[in-house]
Amino acid sequence: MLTVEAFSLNIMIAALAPLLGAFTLLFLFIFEKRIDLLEKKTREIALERELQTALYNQLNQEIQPHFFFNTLNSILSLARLDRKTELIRSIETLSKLLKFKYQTNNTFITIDEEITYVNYYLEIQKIRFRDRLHYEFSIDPNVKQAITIPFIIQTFIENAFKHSFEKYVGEAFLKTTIEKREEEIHITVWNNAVEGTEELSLDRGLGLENITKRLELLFPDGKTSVQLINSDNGTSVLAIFPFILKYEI
Amino acid sequence: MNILLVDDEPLELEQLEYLILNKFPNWKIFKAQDASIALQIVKQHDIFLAFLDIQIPGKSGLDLAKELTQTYTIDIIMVTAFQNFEYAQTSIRLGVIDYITKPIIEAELMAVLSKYERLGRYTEQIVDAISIIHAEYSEKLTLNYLASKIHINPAYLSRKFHEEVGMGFSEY
Repeated sequence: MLTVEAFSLNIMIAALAPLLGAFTLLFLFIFEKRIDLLEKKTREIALERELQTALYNQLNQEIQPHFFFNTLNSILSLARLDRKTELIRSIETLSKLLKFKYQTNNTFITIDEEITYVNYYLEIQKIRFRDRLHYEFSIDPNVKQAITIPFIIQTFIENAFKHSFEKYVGEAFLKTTIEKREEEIHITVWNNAVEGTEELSLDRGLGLENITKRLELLFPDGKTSVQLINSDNGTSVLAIFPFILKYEI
Repeated sequence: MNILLVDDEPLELEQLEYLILNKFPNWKIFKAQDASIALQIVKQHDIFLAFLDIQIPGKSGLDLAKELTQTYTIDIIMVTAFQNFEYAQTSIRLGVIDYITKPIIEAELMAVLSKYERLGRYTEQIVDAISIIHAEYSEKLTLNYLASKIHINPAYLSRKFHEEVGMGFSEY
Protein backbone atom coordinates (compact mmCIF):
# COMPACT_ATOMS: atom_id res chain seq x y z
CA MET A 1 0.00 0.00 0.00
CA LEU A 2 1.38 3.40 -0.98
CA THR A 3 1.44 6.10 1.62
CA VAL A 4 0.43 9.61 0.69
CA GLU A 5 3.97 10.85 1.32
CA ALA A 6 5.53 8.22 -0.85
CA PHE A 7 2.99 8.88 -3.57
CA SER A 8 3.59 12.63 -3.61
CA LEU A 9 7.33 12.01 -3.58
CA ASN A 10 6.96 9.77 -6.62
CA ILE A 11 4.93 12.42 -8.40
CA MET A 12 7.51 15.01 -7.52
CA ILE A 13 10.39 12.91 -8.88
CA ALA A 14 8.42 12.14 -12.01
CA ALA A 15 7.74 15.82 -12.58
CA LEU A 16 11.15 17.14 -11.58
CA ALA A 17 13.38 14.57 -13.26
CA PRO A 18 12.82 15.72 -16.86
CA LEU A 19 13.10 19.31 -15.70
CA LEU A 20 16.38 18.52 -13.98
CA GLY A 21 17.59 16.71 -17.08
CA ALA A 22 16.68 19.66 -19.24
CA PHE A 23 18.58 22.00 -16.94
CA THR A 24 21.62 19.75 -16.92
CA LEU A 25 21.59 19.57 -20.68
CA LEU A 26 21.28 23.31 -20.92
CA PHE A 27 24.16 23.79 -18.54
CA LEU A 28 26.32 21.34 -20.41
CA PHE A 29 25.46 23.00 -23.66
CA ILE A 30 26.46 26.45 -22.43
CA PHE A 31 29.48 25.11 -20.67
CA GLU A 32 30.67 23.16 -23.70
CA LYS A 33 30.53 26.28 -25.80
CA ARG A 34 32.62 28.07 -23.23
CA ILE A 35 35.13 25.23 -23.07
CA ASP A 36 35.42 25.39 -26.83
CA LEU A 37 35.91 29.12 -26.66
CA LEU A 38 38.52 28.69 -23.99
CA GLU A 39 40.37 26.11 -26.05
CA LYS A 40 40.31 28.36 -29.08
CA LYS A 41 41.59 31.24 -27.00
CA THR A 42 44.47 29.19 -25.64
CA ARG A 43 45.39 28.12 -29.14
CA GLU A 44 45.28 31.67 -30.41
CA ILE A 45 47.49 32.81 -27.59
CA ALA A 46 49.93 30.00 -28.25
CA LEU A 47 50.00 30.86 -31.96
CA GLU A 48 50.57 34.47 -31.09
CA ARG A 49 53.45 33.51 -28.83
CA GLU A 50 55.09 31.35 -31.48
CA LEU A 51 54.75 34.18 -33.98
CA GLN A 52 56.44 36.47 -31.51
CA THR A 53 59.28 33.97 -31.26
CA ALA A 54 59.52 33.83 -35.04
CA LEU A 55 59.46 37.61 -35.24
CA TYR A 56 62.09 37.80 -32.59
CA ASN A 57 64.24 35.35 -34.52
CA GLN A 58 63.64 37.28 -37.71
CA LEU A 59 64.41 40.64 -36.21
CA ASN A 60 67.17 39.93 -33.79
CA GLN A 61 68.85 36.62 -34.07
CA GLU A 62 69.69 34.06 -36.67
CA ILE A 63 71.45 35.51 -39.66
CA GLN A 64 69.94 38.91 -39.03
CA PRO A 65 72.91 41.00 -37.88
CA HIS A 66 75.30 39.75 -40.50
CA PHE A 67 72.68 39.91 -43.24
CA PHE A 68 72.00 43.48 -42.22
CA PHE A 69 75.67 44.51 -42.03
CA ASN A 70 76.44 42.83 -45.34
CA THR A 71 73.52 44.60 -46.96
CA LEU A 72 74.62 47.96 -45.59
CA ASN A 73 78.12 47.23 -46.84
CA SER A 74 76.81 46.48 -50.34
CA ILE A 75 74.83 49.69 -50.29
CA LEU A 76 77.94 51.63 -49.22
CA SER A 77 79.88 49.98 -52.04
CA LEU A 78 77.30 51.08 -54.60
CA ALA A 79 77.40 54.62 -53.22
CA ARG A 80 81.21 54.79 -53.26
CA LEU A 81 81.39 53.36 -56.74
CA ASP A 82 78.83 55.91 -57.93
CA ARG A 83 76.29 53.38 -59.14
CA LYS A 84 73.24 55.46 -58.37
CA THR A 85 70.48 53.47 -60.08
CA GLU A 86 71.48 50.27 -58.33
CA LEU A 87 71.98 52.17 -55.10
CA ILE A 88 68.46 53.60 -55.11
CA ARG A 89 66.96 50.26 -56.01
CA SER A 90 68.74 48.46 -53.21
CA ILE A 91 67.76 51.01 -50.57
CA GLU A 92 64.16 50.78 -51.77
CA THR A 93 64.18 47.00 -51.60
CA LEU A 94 65.71 47.01 -48.15
CA SER A 95 63.04 49.51 -47.05
CA LYS A 96 60.25 47.32 -48.40
CA LEU A 97 61.73 44.31 -46.63
CA LEU A 98 61.93 46.15 -43.31
CA LYS A 99 58.43 47.61 -43.70
CA PHE A 100 57.02 44.15 -44.19
CA LYS A 101 58.89 42.82 -41.18
CA TYR A 102 57.69 45.55 -38.87
CA GLN A 103 54.12 45.50 -40.19
CA THR A 104 53.62 41.77 -39.84
CA ASN A 105 51.96 40.81 -36.62
CA ASN A 106 49.15 38.66 -37.94
CA THR A 107 49.35 35.00 -37.09
CA PHE A 108 48.67 34.18 -40.74
CA ILE A 109 49.17 35.77 -44.16
CA THR A 110 48.47 34.71 -47.75
CA ILE A 111 50.99 32.76 -49.80
CA ASP A 112 51.10 35.73 -52.15
CA GLU A 113 52.21 38.07 -49.37
CA GLU A 114 54.88 35.65 -48.21
CA ILE A 115 56.23 35.37 -51.76
CA THR A 116 56.39 39.15 -52.11
CA TYR A 117 58.47 39.34 -48.97
CA VAL A 118 60.78 36.50 -50.01
CA ASN A 119 61.35 38.28 -53.32
CA TYR A 120 62.64 41.39 -51.52
CA TYR A 121 65.05 39.24 -49.60
CA LEU A 122 66.30 37.45 -52.71
CA GLU A 123 66.71 40.70 -54.57
CA ILE A 124 69.00 41.95 -51.82
CA GLN A 125 70.97 38.72 -51.80
CA LYS A 126 71.34 39.08 -55.56
CA ILE A 127 73.21 42.36 -54.99
CA ARG A 128 75.76 40.46 -52.94
CA PHE A 129 75.91 37.12 -54.75
CA ARG A 130 75.56 38.52 -58.29
CA ASP A 131 75.74 35.92 -61.05
CA ARG A 132 76.43 33.12 -58.63
CA LEU A 133 72.83 33.11 -57.41
CA HIS A 134 70.02 31.66 -59.52
CA TYR A 135 66.50 31.38 -58.16
CA GLU A 136 63.09 30.50 -59.48
CA PHE A 137 59.53 30.01 -58.29
CA SER A 138 56.90 27.63 -59.49
CA ILE A 139 53.58 28.48 -57.90
CA ASP A 140 50.14 27.05 -58.56
CA PRO A 141 47.99 30.19 -59.20
CA ASN A 142 45.14 28.66 -57.16
CA VAL A 143 47.12 28.77 -53.91
CA LYS A 144 48.03 32.45 -53.94
CA GLN A 145 45.13 33.47 -51.73
CA ALA A 146 45.48 30.50 -49.41
CA ILE A 147 46.67 31.18 -45.88
CA THR A 148 49.94 30.21 -44.30
CA ILE A 149 52.12 31.30 -41.39
CA PRO A 150 54.40 34.33 -41.89
CA PHE A 151 58.12 33.72 -42.62
CA ILE A 152 57.64 30.05 -43.53
CA ILE A 153 59.32 30.18 -46.96
CA GLN A 154 61.64 32.93 -45.73
CA THR A 155 63.03 30.67 -43.01
CA PHE A 156 63.63 27.84 -45.49
CA ILE A 157 65.41 30.17 -47.90
CA GLU A 158 67.52 31.79 -45.19
CA ASN A 159 68.58 28.29 -44.15
CA ALA A 160 69.65 27.54 -47.72
CA PHE A 161 71.92 30.59 -47.66
CA LYS A 162 73.27 29.98 -44.23
CA HIS A 163 73.92 26.26 -44.52
CA SER A 164 74.65 25.92 -48.23
CA PHE A 165 75.44 28.97 -50.33
CA GLU A 166 77.59 30.75 -47.75
CA LYS A 167 79.46 27.54 -47.01
CA TYR A 168 80.12 25.85 -50.32
CA VAL A 169 81.88 27.15 -53.42
CA GLY A 170 80.12 27.19 -56.78
CA GLU A 171 76.87 28.20 -58.41
CA ALA A 172 73.92 28.61 -56.05
CA PHE A 173 70.58 27.31 -57.30
CA LEU A 174 67.37 27.78 -55.37
CA LYS A 175 63.93 26.59 -56.37
CA THR A 176 60.66 27.14 -54.54
CA THR A 177 57.65 25.07 -55.56
CA ILE A 178 54.16 25.54 -54.17
CA GLU A 179 51.44 23.16 -55.27
CA LYS A 180 47.98 22.09 -54.25
CA ARG A 181 47.55 18.37 -53.79
CA GLU A 182 43.96 17.50 -53.07
CA GLU A 183 43.11 19.62 -50.04
CA GLU A 184 46.73 20.18 -49.02
CA ILE A 185 49.42 22.68 -49.84
CA HIS A 186 52.94 21.39 -50.44
CA ILE A 187 55.79 23.91 -50.23
CA THR A 188 59.22 22.70 -51.33
CA VAL A 189 62.37 24.80 -51.12
CA TRP A 190 65.27 23.08 -52.86
CA ASN A 191 68.93 24.08 -53.12
CA ASN A 192 71.74 22.41 -55.03
CA ALA A 193 74.18 21.94 -52.14
CA VAL A 194 74.56 18.39 -50.94
CA GLU A 195 74.96 18.49 -47.22
CA GLY A 196 76.37 15.85 -44.97
CA THR A 197 73.70 13.93 -43.11
CA GLU A 198 75.49 14.47 -39.82
CA GLU A 199 74.47 18.03 -39.42
CA LEU A 200 71.10 19.27 -38.48
CA SER A 201 72.49 22.15 -36.53
CA LEU A 202 70.75 23.48 -33.47
CA ASP A 203 69.70 26.85 -34.83
CA ARG A 204 68.23 25.35 -37.97
CA GLY A 205 66.48 22.79 -35.77
CA LEU A 206 64.98 25.65 -33.79
CA GLY A 207 63.82 27.47 -36.93
CA LEU A 208 62.09 24.37 -38.25
CA GLU A 209 60.67 23.54 -34.85
CA ASN A 210 59.09 26.96 -34.60
CA ILE A 211 57.51 26.47 -38.04
CA THR A 212 56.19 23.02 -37.14
CA LYS A 213 54.64 24.42 -33.97
CA ARG A 214 53.05 27.40 -35.66
CA LEU A 215 51.57 25.21 -38.42
CA GLU A 216 50.05 22.89 -35.82
CA LEU A 217 48.58 25.84 -33.98
CA LEU A 218 47.16 27.52 -37.09
CA PHE A 219 45.68 24.27 -38.42
CA PRO A 220 44.69 22.33 -35.28
CA ASP A 221 42.31 20.02 -37.17
CA GLY A 222 44.41 19.39 -40.26
CA LYS A 223 47.49 17.36 -41.04
CA THR A 224 50.70 19.38 -40.98
CA SER A 225 54.35 18.40 -41.36
CA VAL A 226 57.82 19.82 -42.01
CA GLN A 227 60.69 17.64 -43.17
CA LEU A 228 64.26 18.04 -44.35
CA ILE A 229 65.19 15.85 -47.31
CA ASN A 230 68.79 15.17 -48.34
CA SER A 231 69.19 13.81 -51.83
CA ASP A 232 71.96 13.33 -54.38
CA ASN A 233 71.21 16.49 -56.24
CA GLY A 234 70.68 18.80 -53.30
CA THR A 235 68.81 19.51 -50.11
CA SER A 236 65.15 20.40 -49.75
CA VAL A 237 62.61 21.22 -47.11
CA LEU A 238 59.00 20.14 -47.56
CA ALA A 239 56.11 21.66 -45.59
CA ILE A 240 52.56 20.33 -45.82
CA PHE A 241 49.44 21.98 -44.41
CA PRO A 242 45.70 22.21 -45.22
CA PHE A 243 44.48 24.34 -48.11
CA ILE A 244 42.26 27.12 -46.74
CA LEU A 245 41.49 30.28 -48.68
CA LYS A 246 41.67 33.61 -46.89
CA TYR A 247 38.05 34.60 -47.58
CA GLU A 248 36.79 31.33 -46.07
CA ILE A 249 37.88 32.39 -42.61
CA MET B 1 103.38 46.92 -53.71
CA ASN B 2 101.11 43.93 -54.34
CA ILE B 3 97.87 43.67 -52.40
CA LEU B 4 95.54 40.68 -52.34
CA LEU B 5 91.81 41.04 -51.68
CA VAL B 6 89.79 37.91 -50.89
CA ASP B 7 85.99 38.09 -50.70
CA ASP B 8 83.21 36.12 -52.40
CA GLU B 9 81.24 39.30 -53.09
CA PRO B 10 82.34 41.06 -56.30
CA LEU B 11 80.94 44.34 -55.03
CA GLU B 12 83.05 44.22 -51.89
CA LEU B 13 86.20 43.55 -53.94
CA GLU B 14 85.41 46.56 -56.07
CA GLN B 15 84.76 48.71 -53.04
CA LEU B 16 88.04 47.81 -51.33
CA GLU B 17 89.98 48.27 -54.55
CA TYR B 18 88.39 51.66 -55.03
CA LEU B 19 89.14 52.82 -51.48
CA ILE B 20 92.73 51.56 -51.50
CA LEU B 21 93.63 52.90 -54.93
CA ASN B 22 92.14 56.22 -53.98
CA LYS B 23 94.80 56.55 -51.32
CA PHE B 24 97.60 54.49 -52.86
CA PRO B 25 97.31 54.72 -56.64
CA ASN B 26 100.60 52.86 -57.18
CA TRP B 27 99.60 49.71 -55.40
CA LYS B 28 98.80 46.71 -57.49
CA ILE B 29 95.57 44.95 -56.53
CA PHE B 30 94.87 41.24 -57.00
CA LYS B 31 91.36 39.91 -56.35
CA ALA B 32 90.16 36.42 -55.45
CA GLN B 33 86.67 35.12 -54.72
CA ASP B 34 87.76 32.02 -52.85
CA ALA B 35 90.72 30.50 -51.04
CA SER B 36 91.96 28.33 -53.91
CA ILE B 37 92.22 31.29 -56.29
CA ALA B 38 93.89 33.27 -53.50
CA LEU B 39 96.51 30.56 -53.00
CA GLN B 40 97.27 30.51 -56.72
CA ILE B 41 97.81 34.27 -56.73
CA VAL B 42 100.05 34.11 -53.69
CA LYS B 43 102.15 31.42 -55.39
CA GLN B 44 102.66 33.49 -58.51
CA HIS B 45 103.04 36.98 -57.10
CA ASP B 46 104.92 38.54 -54.27
CA ILE B 47 102.02 39.65 -52.07
CA PHE B 48 102.83 42.13 -49.33
CA LEU B 49 99.43 42.65 -47.72
CA ALA B 50 96.21 40.61 -47.85
CA PHE B 51 92.62 41.42 -46.85
CA LEU B 52 90.77 38.19 -46.08
CA ASP B 53 87.02 37.96 -45.56
CA ILE B 54 86.23 35.32 -42.94
CA GLN B 55 82.95 34.12 -44.48
CA ILE B 56 83.97 32.84 -47.87
CA PRO B 57 82.53 29.61 -49.24
CA GLY B 58 84.83 26.59 -49.11
CA LYS B 59 87.91 27.08 -47.00
CA SER B 60 87.18 29.93 -44.56
CA GLY B 61 89.20 33.13 -44.34
CA LEU B 62 90.63 32.03 -41.00
CA ASP B 63 91.87 28.72 -42.43
CA LEU B 64 93.35 30.60 -45.36
CA ALA B 65 95.10 33.01 -42.97
CA LYS B 66 96.55 30.07 -41.09
CA GLU B 67 97.90 28.55 -44.27
CA LEU B 68 99.35 31.84 -45.47
CA THR B 69 101.10 32.64 -42.19
CA GLN B 70 102.70 29.20 -42.17
CA THR B 71 104.31 29.47 -45.60
CA TYR B 72 104.61 33.15 -46.43
CA THR B 73 105.42 36.43 -44.79
CA ILE B 74 102.33 38.40 -45.70
CA ASP B 75 100.69 41.03 -43.56
CA ILE B 76 97.11 39.88 -43.08
CA ILE B 77 94.02 41.91 -42.26
CA MET B 78 90.82 40.00 -41.49
CA VAL B 79 87.46 41.39 -42.63
CA THR B 80 84.04 40.17 -41.46
CA ALA B 81 80.38 41.14 -41.14
CA PHE B 82 80.15 39.18 -37.88
CA GLN B 83 80.66 41.20 -34.72
CA ASN B 84 81.81 38.07 -33.00
CA PHE B 85 84.42 37.81 -30.28
CA GLU B 86 85.67 34.31 -31.16
CA TYR B 87 86.59 35.34 -34.68
CA ALA B 88 88.59 38.27 -33.37
CA GLN B 89 90.33 36.07 -30.84
CA THR B 90 91.21 33.39 -33.39
CA SER B 91 92.54 36.08 -35.71
CA ILE B 92 94.76 37.52 -33.00
CA ARG B 93 96.12 34.09 -32.22
CA LEU B 94 96.96 33.59 -35.88
CA GLY B 95 99.01 36.75 -35.67
CA VAL B 96 97.12 38.89 -38.14
CA ILE B 97 98.00 42.59 -38.36
CA ASP B 98 94.49 43.92 -37.96
CA TYR B 99 90.78 43.09 -37.94
CA ILE B 100 88.01 45.19 -39.44
CA THR B 101 84.25 44.65 -39.57
CA LYS B 102 81.76 45.34 -42.34
CA PRO B 103 80.29 47.74 -43.27
CA ILE B 104 83.66 49.20 -44.20
CA ILE B 105 84.14 52.63 -42.63
CA GLU B 106 86.64 54.59 -44.71
CA ALA B 107 88.38 56.19 -41.73
CA GLU B 108 88.85 52.80 -40.08
CA LEU B 109 90.33 51.30 -43.22
CA MET B 110 92.66 54.27 -43.63
CA ALA B 111 93.79 53.98 -40.01
CA VAL B 112 94.74 50.36 -40.68
CA LEU B 113 96.54 51.34 -43.86
CA SER B 114 98.35 54.32 -42.35
CA LYS B 115 101.28 52.18 -41.24
CA TYR B 116 101.88 51.37 -44.90
CA GLU B 117 101.72 54.98 -45.92
CA ARG B 118 105.47 55.47 -46.13
CA LEU B 119 105.86 52.20 -47.91
CA GLY B 120 103.26 53.34 -50.41
CA ARG B 121 105.54 56.14 -51.56
CA TYR B 122 108.60 53.96 -52.14
CA THR B 123 109.53 52.49 -55.46
CA GLU B 124 109.06 48.81 -56.03
CA GLN B 125 112.75 47.94 -55.53
CA ILE B 126 112.87 49.54 -52.12
CA VAL B 127 109.58 47.89 -51.10
CA ASP B 128 111.10 44.56 -52.14
CA ALA B 129 114.22 45.29 -50.15
CA ILE B 130 112.22 46.22 -47.06
CA SER B 131 110.02 43.16 -47.28
CA ILE B 132 113.13 40.96 -47.48
CA ILE B 133 114.59 42.76 -44.48
CA HIS B 134 111.37 42.19 -42.55
CA ALA B 135 111.19 38.55 -43.51
CA GLU B 136 114.80 37.72 -42.71
CA TYR B 137 115.72 40.29 -40.11
CA SER B 138 116.76 37.61 -37.64
CA GLU B 139 119.65 36.63 -39.89
CA LYS B 140 122.63 38.77 -40.72
CA LEU B 141 121.76 40.70 -43.84
CA THR B 142 124.33 42.32 -46.07
CA LEU B 143 123.79 44.96 -48.69
CA ASN B 144 125.33 42.70 -51.31
CA TYR B 145 122.99 39.84 -50.46
CA LEU B 146 119.97 42.10 -50.59
CA ALA B 147 121.03 43.69 -53.87
CA SER B 148 121.59 40.31 -55.49
CA LYS B 149 118.16 39.18 -54.30
CA ILE B 150 116.41 42.01 -56.08
CA HIS B 151 118.85 42.00 -58.98
CA ILE B 152 120.30 45.49 -58.74
CA ASN B 153 123.67 47.06 -58.14
CA PRO B 154 124.56 47.32 -54.38
CA ALA B 155 125.79 50.91 -54.67
CA TYR B 156 122.62 51.94 -56.47
CA LEU B 157 120.48 50.21 -53.83
CA SER B 158 122.34 51.93 -51.05
CA ARG B 159 121.86 55.38 -52.61
CA LYS B 160 118.21 54.76 -53.44
CA PHE B 161 117.50 53.41 -50.00
CA HIS B 162 118.94 56.52 -48.42
CA GLU B 163 117.03 58.77 -50.78
CA GLU B 164 113.66 57.21 -50.21
CA VAL B 165 113.74 55.95 -46.66
CA GLY B 166 115.76 58.86 -45.30
CA MET B 167 118.27 56.68 -43.46
CA GLY B 168 121.08 54.33 -44.35
CA PHE B 169 120.51 50.66 -44.95
CA SER B 170 122.62 49.58 -41.96
CA GLU B 171 120.81 52.01 -39.69
CA TYR B 172 117.49 50.59 -40.79
